[in-house]
Amino acid sequence: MSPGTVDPVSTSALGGLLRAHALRLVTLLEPLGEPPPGSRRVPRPETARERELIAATAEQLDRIGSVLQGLATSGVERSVRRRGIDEEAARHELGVDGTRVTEWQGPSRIDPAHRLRARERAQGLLNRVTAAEGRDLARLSRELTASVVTLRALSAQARDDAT
Amino acid sequence: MENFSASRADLSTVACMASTGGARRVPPHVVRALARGRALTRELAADLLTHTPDMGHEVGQRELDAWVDQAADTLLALSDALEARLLELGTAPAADDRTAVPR
Repeated sequence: MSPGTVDPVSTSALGGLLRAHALRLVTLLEPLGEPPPGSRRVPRPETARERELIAATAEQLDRIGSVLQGLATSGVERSVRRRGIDEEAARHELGVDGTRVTEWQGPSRIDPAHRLRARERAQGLLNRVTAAEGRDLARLSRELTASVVTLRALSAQARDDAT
Repeated sequence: MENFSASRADLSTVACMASTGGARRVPPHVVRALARGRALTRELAADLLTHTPDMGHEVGQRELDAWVDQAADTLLALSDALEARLLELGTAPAADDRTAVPR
């Protein structure tokens, strides 16, 4: 993995883990007195508070897990596109260095005007890939920030209940 | 971060009381679910802390690490809340069960 790039494998693994954890938490609701959907049973009041906390925590885990899985998927797609740009650039004796397309050192047999057009085209494609990654990371950042606030409030409520 | 092994009471004793007369009005499956939830939330918190994906960016990495820490803390707090309710329901007089009001 190149520096500055999300590792899709470990990111997807955490995303999947979080969603699996959310599901396991949700399985506690019915035994704790939550009627199944469509049931006429009345919710058990003694454990209403705990069910509320469990459901809210599960929702946060699932939400962030889903964002991480999406980030991993688009990371793989971006890797494929980046590889395509690398190959196209190499055909014109160009290389990709991070977010920039550069010319190989030394004399070239390729027509300078043709090489310049190829470089501009490759740079344009690379800019799109970089911008898409930036948008994904910005979205993750927003989701994490909002979720931390919610989780912090849930911790405080749970600790109030425990004392 | 709290100590995973911390426990306020012998929960198996509480569960036994609930199912054998200590708190007759609480169905045993609810007590068992509380005990299972308490254990599960601790297990999930510990498991969460073993996964550290590489975000490739310092800021993103810091934000994700902070979120994972907070999520683990919330699961532990939830575990404490489930334990407290387990103790309450397991040791409350039977007559209180019908009038219990969620906090």
